Parts: sequence; structure tokens; C-alpha cells
Amino acid sequence: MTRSPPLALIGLEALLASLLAGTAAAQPPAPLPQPAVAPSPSPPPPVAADDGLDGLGDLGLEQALPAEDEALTIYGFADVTYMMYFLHDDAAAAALFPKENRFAVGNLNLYARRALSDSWRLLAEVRFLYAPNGATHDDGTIDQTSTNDPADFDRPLNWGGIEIERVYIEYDVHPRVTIQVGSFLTPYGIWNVDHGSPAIIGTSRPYAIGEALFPERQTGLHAYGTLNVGEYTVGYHATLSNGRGPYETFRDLDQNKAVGGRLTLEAPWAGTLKLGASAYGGRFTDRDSDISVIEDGKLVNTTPKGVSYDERAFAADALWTHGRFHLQTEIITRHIAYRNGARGVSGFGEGFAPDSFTYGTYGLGAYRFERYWNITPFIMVDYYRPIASQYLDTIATVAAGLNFRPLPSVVLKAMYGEGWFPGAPDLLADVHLRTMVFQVACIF
Amino acid sequence: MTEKILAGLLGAFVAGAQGGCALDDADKCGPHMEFSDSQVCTCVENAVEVTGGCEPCAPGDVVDEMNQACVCPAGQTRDGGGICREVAGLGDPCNGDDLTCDDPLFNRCAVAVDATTGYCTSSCVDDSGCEAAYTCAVWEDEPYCRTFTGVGQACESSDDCAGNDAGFCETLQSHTCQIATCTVGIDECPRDNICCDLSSYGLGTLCSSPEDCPT
Amino acid sequence: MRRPIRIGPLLVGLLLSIAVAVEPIGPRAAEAEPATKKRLVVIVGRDSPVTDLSRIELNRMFTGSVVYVAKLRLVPFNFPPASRERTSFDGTMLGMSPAEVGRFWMDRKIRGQSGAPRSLPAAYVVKLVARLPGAIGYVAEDQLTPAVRAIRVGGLAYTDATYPLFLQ
Repeated sequence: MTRSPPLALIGLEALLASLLAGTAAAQPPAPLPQPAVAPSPSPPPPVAADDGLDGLGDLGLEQALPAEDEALTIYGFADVTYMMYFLHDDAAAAALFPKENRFAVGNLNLYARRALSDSWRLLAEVRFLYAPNGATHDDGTIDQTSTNDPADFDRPLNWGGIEIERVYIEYDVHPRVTIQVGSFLTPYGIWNVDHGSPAIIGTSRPYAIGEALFPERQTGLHAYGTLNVGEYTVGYHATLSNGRGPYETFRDLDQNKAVGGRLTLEAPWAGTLKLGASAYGGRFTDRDSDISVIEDGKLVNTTPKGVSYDERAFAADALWTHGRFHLQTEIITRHIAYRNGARGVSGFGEGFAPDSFTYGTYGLGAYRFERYWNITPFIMVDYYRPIASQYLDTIATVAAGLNFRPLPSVVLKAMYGEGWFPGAPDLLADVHLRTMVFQVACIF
Repeated sequence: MTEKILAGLLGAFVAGAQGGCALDDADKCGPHMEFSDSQVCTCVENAVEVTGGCEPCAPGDVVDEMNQACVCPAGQTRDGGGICREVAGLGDPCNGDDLTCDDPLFNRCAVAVDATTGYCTSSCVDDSGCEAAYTCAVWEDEPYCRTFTGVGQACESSDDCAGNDAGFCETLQSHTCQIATCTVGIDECPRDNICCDLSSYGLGTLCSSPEDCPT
Repeated sequence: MRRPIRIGPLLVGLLLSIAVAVEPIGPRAAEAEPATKKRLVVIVGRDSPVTDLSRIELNRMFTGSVVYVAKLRLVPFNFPPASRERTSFDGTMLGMSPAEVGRFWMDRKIRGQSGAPRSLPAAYVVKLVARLPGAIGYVAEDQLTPAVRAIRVGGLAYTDATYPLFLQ
């Protein structure tokens, strides 16, 4: 099979080829070396004092060989889904989800990565959104972000937003310690880091992951590293951040830093088994801004309590790959304890939200064929116990589908899912939410 | 040593994770709260909702359920020191026969249509002429300060509300006794409430705060 | 109450049954290679302190992990995708087909992890490895030059009969 190398590698090869050929960097790059696809290797080049590598020393590569390409790399992924909800007009679930079948552009994420040196790196990932256009409110109204386009005779234009998924600067302090500073995906479990649609097998996240029992991302410090012990690899992560909050990327409303950690073990047991355990503890606070008044000629500043709770989350995960079999599971728990005088309203029309213990788990099994576009049948079961309420006790889903990978950069998926609410009284007792989702995702 | 450290970390992890499981109903709510059957935290008896939690009322106060405020019981008023004191005559039982209202201010005997005894009260023009627990019944031919019994009382069905002015049990959300069959525009409701047309929800009319009333 | 039709589990069960029936289960077993095949030799510079690397170390190095030997960070150099050397090395050392390798590196990018080792034609690999401290690569045995040194893989020299790396 003949395949062209990815564009980034082509660029690198062209650059290196030009360096090796002794051409100045300012000159046009040398012709691209063709990948060796013929089975017979070319004869070894003669080794001489002038071996065509003199230019490297001038660039400092001999003293500090960069482990990674230092060029700015821009890449990303996108996905489009076709979603079908099998709902009747009188189904209770119809009040929660749009009934119409539809195409939807889900993710358009762009990455910028640059190795600043051998030890310093930067990664930024942003997601382009149509939101807030189309955001639905409880009263049934839908936001429209229509405005006039001054560049096109004021014709109507719908604008969207940008979500900064992560942005951090990374430094290798020691062979076993790398520190990130910035906004990073919380290192817990498997799914939260594999968050890009092309890298995950199904079309949507398990419920427990989507509910963010751990914060999806944090802003602060993240230290991580690995230690190889024979055939085993032990890894660790430690985080110190602003914690969870409405503006946690730039404010810490309670000045209470959250801490977290993760330990992993990778072992060659019957294939490869990766085990992980994660923990997080922090304080959430959502409050109004400080109030300052002048009393008796003095400025008095008061900080409202707002809604605030302390949370502890724990998770364990396992990923087992054996040949083409893939089995992964996670269990996540979260305990919330409101602070006195800072309890939130219940959201059910009366009273206050109780302290809660919620947990969820899922299991995903898949088998990837080498043929038929790498067809991968998979099944996923999902179980979630939300905050106790009179309307809802448990959420359970079963999903099964097919994942195709015709190219490493293109993924096609089809997933049928069914969700129901065991133990729910009356309103949701007999509700079965059935969905069929088709998705195409690609990396570019 | 490494094994001991790992075992210690694992032990701490499991202990921490299990610690969260030990969350019984008594631990779910804050001070002056209790975990209700509807799986939310509500204020205990004689405490009122404030921002972020519940606060107990002062001794001698009672809770105005509708307005979530500490008020003096019927027949009492708050003195300059904030203590509820008996108001002579107000709220005393009467029947217009042998039990009369002799206080010159509270000389009206308010008796419900299907009752034989009532309570002494005063005439009024609007709510400002009544004690906090009373509403000026301006819809009457001769307005007077009146109370509404049973409003906000917890219930499972309307049987639990029988005999009260609030005779309807609202079982969709609040599970409390409410005043039904009021007249929109007349508003025969406790102070700060209006009569709300909920017929589109199959509920007829109910007294409700204006912000809870769909427009 | 209508009973929901659970298509998903049935569908997946059927497909998994087909999978088990038509596909060999488990990782591809390493087969003994005929002695006539050319061997792939893992090379370092003549002055490199590296003399022997285990298969797991090579696997880690060529799948994005950072490996140090004697405080020297090893920097791997690959052959271009789909080249015979690359396919052979990835198949034996990483246990991955070209398609799996492609998926592996694409998915790592999405996770925000480092990219694949640099890919160079054979002539450049030998020259770079010879000149740059920490560089490590692999070439067919007939491309060995005096400027580089072959190291052992899992304790086996490339001349040993049980040496695992061959040009497929």
C-alpha cells in the first residue's frame, strides 16, 4: 500500500532535506524526497568528511537536538452528525430534546502546537461554535444572533462564539517531571482526554462523562511524568488550579485552590492493560461581585457568599487492548457539600439543593477489523445516578454501533442508543429515549 | 517501600471514595433544614428561607409560609423590641352571639360562611391597616382584616387541606395547600398574592405570587 | 406499554460473532523469520553510550514517550510511512500495521500529545544518527556504515539467529 506522508512530515522532510543538502535556509526548499516505497533499499551512501551535514552545526542542532519539530503546527478536527430522535409528540422526553431529525455541525476545533525549544512547548485548542445562536430557554424561546453584515450590504448574518478548550505552556523540568501552566483538560479517566470526536469510538460521551463529575478542564498548574520500571510504566499527574467556577479560567471567586491527582499503571498483561485512579478536591463558588459602600467615611467591602460548595471526586479507569479487542471502563464519583448559608436552590420549584453523592460508570467494548475500512463494531453501556430528586433516580443507556476508519484521518460512525430511567416515578417511568446518530469526523 | 507507598495511596483513595457514599438523609441539608420527601432541603418548622439557607424565627414568631417571613401569630403584634405581644381583642374567638368583640378597634367578628365561630378583627381600607399576618379583604362589601388558614401546609392530597381556607392540595410541585377557585381580577387572596388562571394546566385558578403566575 | 426494540445489542452481538469467526484473536504472533531475509539494525552514533535497548524501550521511544539513557535523551528517527523499513519496524516493534500507525499518530495529535518521530530516507537517517548525540534509528543491515554502531535489541545482536527485526 502506498500512502503519502502527512503534510507536516512533508514540510519537515523538505526542511531537513534542504539542510542536509547544505542549502541556506533562505533558499527555496529542495525537492521533496520521495518516500521509499520500493522494496529494495538504495545502496548506502558513502561516508566522507563532507557528508552534507555541515549546516546542522550552524543551526545548533548538534548541541541540542530538538526532540520535536519547532515549526508552528496548525491542525484540527471537525465532525458532522445526523441525529434521529425517535420521539412521539406526547412523550415526556419530547419536552427535553428537539424532536426533529437533523444534520448538525458538532465540532470544529483548531489546534496550534509549537515546540519552543527542546523543553518548552505550547498547545492551544479552540472550538468554533454556532452558539449562542439557537440556544433554547426553559420558556421555549430560542436565541437568534442575527445581525447585519456590514461587508455585505447589511444582509443578515448569524454570528457564533469561540470556546477555548485548552491553552498551556509546558516545560520539561526533569526527565520525569513536566509542568504545564494554563488551561488544561483535567487528567482523569480515559474519555476526558480523548475528547476529540475522531479519537473516540462512539458518537457521544457517556452520561457520567458529560455530567462533568470532575471539572472538564482547569486553569492552573499541572505536573506529570512517567517512570518506566521494566515492562511497566507508572505515571502520575498532580494539579493545582482555580477549581470549578463560572469564570474559573481567569477568576477564583473563593480564593480556594483545588488540588487533584492521578496515578496510572501500564502493564503488558494479556495484551496491554492500563489502570488509572484519579482524585479531585475543590470549592465551587458562584457569586455576585463585591459590594463596596462608604460607611462613616470608610470604604467597606463586602463579599457576597453566593452559592458555594466543596466537592470531592474520585475515579478509576481501566483500558485493556488485546490485539484488535478494545475494552475500557470508568467509574466516577462526586460528593458535594454546600457551605452554610451558601446553598443553591433545588431547581425543582421548591427548597434548596441537598448535599449529594453522585456516581456513574460505563463500559465500552470494541473490535477493529483490518478490512472493510477498519470496521469496528462496538457496544457501550452507561449507568448514572444523578443528584436525588423526586423525578429521577437513575439514567441507564445502552448503545451499539459501527465505527469505520477508511483513512487514519477520517472516521465514520453509526450508533443506535436507547436510554431509560430505572426507578423514576410517574413522569419518566415509562420513557425510553431512542436515538440513531450518524457521524463523520475528520482530522485535518 | 514503593509497594507500601502505592498501597497507602490506594487505601487513601478507596477510603476517600467510600467516604462520599456515607451520605444519609440527616447529612444532606444545612442548619435549620430537613431533607423532605420531595428530595430537596426545606426549612424546619419555625424557620424561613433566606438567600443560601434557612434562618430560625425568633421565639414566639410563626412562619408566614407564603411570604417566607417570620411574623407574629394572629392576635399579636411586634413591639418596639421586636417581641411579639398580644393585641387585645385581635384574633379572639367570637360568634356574634355570646362571644362578642368588645375591643373598640377590633370590633368585627369574621365568621366563615360554613362556620359558627370566627375571630375578632378590624375594618380596613388596604393591607397597611392590618397586622402582618392579616390581609385586608377589599373584595368584601365591608373590607376587614382577615387570615387565610392552611396556606402552605404540607399535603399529599386535598383531604389533608380540608377545613382550611387553603383547601386545594397542589401536587405537581410544592405539595402544599393552596387557595383555589379565586376570581381573576378580584384577587381574594392573601396579601402580596393575586388570583392566577391556571386553567390551561388543568388547575383552574389558584392564589399565587405575581412572579409565579404565567402571563 | 410498547416494548422497545433493542437493535443495538443484537447488531453488535452478530458482528462480534462474525469477527471472532473470521479474524484471528489476539496479537499477531511473532513468527520465526528465514535467515535469508535482511535484518533491520537499530543504530546509534559511534560515541553513543547506548549499547542495548529492550523491545519495550524501543516501543516507547517510537510511540512518543521520552526515553533517557545515561542522562541522554534519545531522539528517534523513522523511515517515511509506507516504506518497507518503516512497515517492518512498526509491525515488529510496535505491533501495528501501517493503518494502525496512521490512526495512532492522528489520535495522539487530537489528544494534544507529541507527534510522530521525524521521518527521513535511509541515507539521511544514517548520516544524522552518526552526527547527532542521542539520535537513534534503524536501517537494513546492508546500509550499515562505519559511522554508526549497531546496538543489541533485547540483548540480541543483529547477527544472532534469534534476532527479531527483519525487513519484510
